[in-house]
Amino acid sequence: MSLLDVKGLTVSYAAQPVPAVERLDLSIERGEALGLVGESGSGKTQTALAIMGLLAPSATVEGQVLFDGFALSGLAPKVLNRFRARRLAMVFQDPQQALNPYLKIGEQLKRVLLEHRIVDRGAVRGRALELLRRVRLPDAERQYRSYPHQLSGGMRQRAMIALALACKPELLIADEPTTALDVTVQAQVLRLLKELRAQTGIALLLITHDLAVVAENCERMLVMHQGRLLEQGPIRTVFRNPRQERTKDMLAAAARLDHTPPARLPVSSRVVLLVDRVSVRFREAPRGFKRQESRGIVGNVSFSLAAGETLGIVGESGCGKTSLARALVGLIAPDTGGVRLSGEPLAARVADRAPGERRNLQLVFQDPVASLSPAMKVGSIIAEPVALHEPGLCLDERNRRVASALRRAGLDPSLSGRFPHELSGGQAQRVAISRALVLQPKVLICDEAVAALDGTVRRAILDLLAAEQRRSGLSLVFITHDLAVVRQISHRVLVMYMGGIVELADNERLFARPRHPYTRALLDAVPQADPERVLPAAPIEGEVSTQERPSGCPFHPRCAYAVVRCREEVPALRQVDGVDVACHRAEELDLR
Amino acid sequence: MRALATAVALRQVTGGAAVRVSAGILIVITIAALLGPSLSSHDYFSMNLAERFEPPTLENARFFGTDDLGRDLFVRTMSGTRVTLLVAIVASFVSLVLGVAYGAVAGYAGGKVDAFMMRIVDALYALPFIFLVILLMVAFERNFLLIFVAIGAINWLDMARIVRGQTLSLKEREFVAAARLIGVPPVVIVFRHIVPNLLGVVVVYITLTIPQAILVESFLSFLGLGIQEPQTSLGALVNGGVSQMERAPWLLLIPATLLAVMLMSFNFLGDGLRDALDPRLKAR
Amino acid sequence: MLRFALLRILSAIPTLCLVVVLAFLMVHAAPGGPFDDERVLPPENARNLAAAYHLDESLPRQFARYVSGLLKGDLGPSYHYRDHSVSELIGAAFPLSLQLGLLSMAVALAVGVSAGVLAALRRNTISDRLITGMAMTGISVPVFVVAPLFVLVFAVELRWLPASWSGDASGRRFLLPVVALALPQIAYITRLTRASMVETLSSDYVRTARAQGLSLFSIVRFHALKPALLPVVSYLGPAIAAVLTGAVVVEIVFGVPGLGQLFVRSALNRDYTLVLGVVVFYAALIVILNLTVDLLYGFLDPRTRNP
Repeated sequence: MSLLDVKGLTVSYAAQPVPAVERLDLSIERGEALGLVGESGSGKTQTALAIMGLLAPSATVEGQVLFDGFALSGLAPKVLNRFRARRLAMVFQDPQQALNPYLKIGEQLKRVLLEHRIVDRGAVRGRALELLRRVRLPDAERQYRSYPHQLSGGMRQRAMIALALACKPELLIADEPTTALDVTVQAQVLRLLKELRAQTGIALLLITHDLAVVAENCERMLVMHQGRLLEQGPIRTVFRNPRQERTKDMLAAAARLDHTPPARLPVSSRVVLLVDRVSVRFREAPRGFKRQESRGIVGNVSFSLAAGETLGIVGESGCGKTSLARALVGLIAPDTGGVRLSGEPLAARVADRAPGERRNLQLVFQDPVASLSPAMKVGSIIAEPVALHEPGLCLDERNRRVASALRRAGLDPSLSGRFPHELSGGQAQRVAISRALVLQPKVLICDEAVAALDGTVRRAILDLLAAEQRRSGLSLVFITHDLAVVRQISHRVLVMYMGGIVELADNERLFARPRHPYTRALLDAVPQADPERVLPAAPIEGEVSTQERPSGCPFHPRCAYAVVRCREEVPALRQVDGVDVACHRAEELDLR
Repeated sequence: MRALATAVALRQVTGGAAVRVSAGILIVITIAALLGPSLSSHDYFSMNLAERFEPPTLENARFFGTDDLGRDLFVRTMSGTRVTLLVAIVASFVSLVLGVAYGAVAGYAGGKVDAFMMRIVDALYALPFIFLVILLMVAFERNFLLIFVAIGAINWLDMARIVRGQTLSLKEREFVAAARLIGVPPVVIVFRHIVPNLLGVVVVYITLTIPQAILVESFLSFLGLGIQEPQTSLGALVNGGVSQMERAPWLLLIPATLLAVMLMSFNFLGDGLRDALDPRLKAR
Repeated sequence: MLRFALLRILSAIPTLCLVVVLAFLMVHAAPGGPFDDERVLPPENARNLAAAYHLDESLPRQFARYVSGLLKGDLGPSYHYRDHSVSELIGAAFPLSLQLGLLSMAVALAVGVSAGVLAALRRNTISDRLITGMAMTGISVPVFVVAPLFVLVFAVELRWLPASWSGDASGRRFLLPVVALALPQIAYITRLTRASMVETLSSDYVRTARAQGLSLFSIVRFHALKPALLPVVSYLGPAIAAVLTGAVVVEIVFGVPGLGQLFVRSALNRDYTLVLGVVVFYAALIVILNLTVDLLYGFLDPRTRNP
């Protein structure tokens, strides 16, 4: 008998014409790890909530959920509570929201332990601390006394796992547990889950949109699409021989660093953007209870961009890439340094720049719907820059421009009558790109422009940008945390860590032989959609320090190759074998 | 205006029954107040001592009966409703204009200007306005216009705070940054990008300040400082009715019920609009 | 946390100063002098009277005089009650209003919070609709209708409780005024608590608590109650202001010799120092109470307490 057996599960809501989940069959054996994948809206979270009995009262649930032979569907809450946490537990996506901000971590743990009478009052603190240590939280005592907002993202997720495992359940349902985390932290948490599984034999239902994560962490997988089961089977089988077209599409869009990227256009030698020693310090206004603090967010960054080139900028949270983007574009003024466009210096603030300069340097944001004015129709949104920069145009001509901009972005011009909230994520991002490109800028900066999009949609947007680049010789600065994307589209790659550049190299060179230990760690940590892949050794420890800036090289506390000099001296960015790298030991290390 | 149009469209789609029923009730009341008196041959001020304290009846068009001075209650009630609605709407409009202008400027300007403007709001908030209104009404001899101003002056502070809060958060959103990038001038940003997105909140708030304004006017009537005879308002009628509670209960019950129904409708409408607007606009 | 507290306290001071200035200006902006209602005096007496009360001085000087008195705790003499100072009169009337106000708030909180929580837990059932309906009625019926109705029903018809203040020296005379004053607050707090609790119960962390198999009682008691009540705490500031206002009506209807009644009489008598004194007093009270509520809220929110 399977541990979990779901038969014909259907979840529907009165307000929606199509069910969220339709006639789904799913089973998990004891100790097994099943990956449940699908794009957003495919019904994976609804399935998990249905299994746990956590759906909203307005949901209608049909079908059977059997846990170890017991029918869970339709049970009264009191009875269901005896299963929850004790036999099956759940970990949610966003630990910031999923943990009670008003209770200390220790209190939340105690509550679960006492409620299920795992231990009595005298022993509860000890058991809680033990659990915190089990999930590898440093300084368990301190975390016990802390509130969720005092912990970093990775630590919060570990705390959530500790909470879920408190009563030693047999099945753990993890809904996108690492999506909100940095790549290196994600690697740590996934490894933790592997260890815990090995130690306790717990079964895992891992829900994610990321095929790469599933490839490396599960034995079997189940693909959902629009509420229905699309395909299922052992990992290797599905990856090697997908049967459905859609599965093939998803696999093709998934991350693999070893795929050779398509041939890129040659880059001209003309420098179109020159960034010269830009730094941004974040001054916190002395508001109420904080002193005025000045933290270096971006320190002394310089690079150049040629016409027709795509530069990928990668880094994790705290590396300053978004602040850098905003400084380049003039939304915030850099504290030192400047930017030159085609040789001419640009004013620090966008309001001070000439219209001609503004139109040549544009930005696309991460959240497509948020970057479009909710009260304006698509047509007006795209017409606005045209009206501003070419006021002489008559109405007809302007409308023609808008229509052609929409078509170039792969959208039907009839969409110009819609409002942003009526568009899908992919459509909204196309509108945003279309707005950015309607004035035919020389440089387009994309700040995590595809991070919020599903795999297949993401692919389409990247293709769109590539086409535009081919057509007009547009230069792209592509900022992202996703190394696979960078591998596909960039000519050169720039890696940032805690505000500074640690490596800048050609695409091929960086991926074949990284020169900086952090780059190596990033490459190791990125999950890849290749079940055959031999996983590298342990991912790096720790997270980016938010408190004090380490002395000397900012990466040294986490670096496997650090020596005394690294603690004392800040490494300068210098050329080693045609690659710019900021590491004292660049020449001697072989990080292949 | 687009945001408002969207809001109306959304309401029709999600439209809680509460919203539609309340809106319907208010429309009916308004029409009745405007057209009602023409159904009766009586007027609101003629006294007829021979016909005092008549209970409601269909003869002689005394639908609501008469009061202690023989005046027809039906026409007085309709007339009073008109006055009450007028006072409430005008006063709310005053507070709307003041509040939105002040709040949007403070919110968009930010920094020291914002801090200063809000400090003034804090100070004004602390003043027990009711007392000052009373004082002003006494001092300025119950000027009709002053009532509007006074009531508007009480409510604009809340509106300013809310508008400022919304402006501050809207200012940080990406679409405003995108507009700055294109080079849209700040004034245009405020009017084309920010204000339309405020309208939703403002509309909801207005439907909730109107009841407050009505209550303030009634309170002033209670103290004898409101609308002067022979003009009347619902509040004044209710007050009059209270003193005749034992002898002629209809004098209290009819205007009080109408007042309560109006207030409840506005509150339900506001609640319903708030539910319909916010989650939707944020959800996608 | 300490920083937060200090800064809040410091920022309240300029607010208080601004309040005094504004109140002073408004009172002096009202046309007509404090002695206009009385017999017309021969010019010389009028001048002497004016000089005795410093009304002939320039406005800034009058203001300076007022503030220096204020700092010593002297709010000036009453124009109408010649033998008493404003501070005396306020001191005599305030305790009663305070009792009334505190009792009403206590009742409002106890009843309102319980009703709100209950309604939220029984969402969309009959009990919920009943409670919500009553709350809606509570905010739609003005105090000056409810209060006389109470008098009519409980005092005149049923004769259970005294009709007016002076008619009875027992504690029972508090009952009707307190309840009348508390009703709109009960209604408002019920609605607020219900909305807040509903929102808290649909939050992600409550979903986590449910996933942990906690009983509804545990969830409410340990996870949901405190976050849900935070908006109620911050409502306390405006609530107090509302109670102070409502007290005017209740005091007049029931004949309670409190501060609200004193104010209305002083306004009608054009007793401007008394008016100004009451306004400043109330404003100061509100500023201090709001400050206390702010500090309390900051204390309860872990993010301010332990950054």
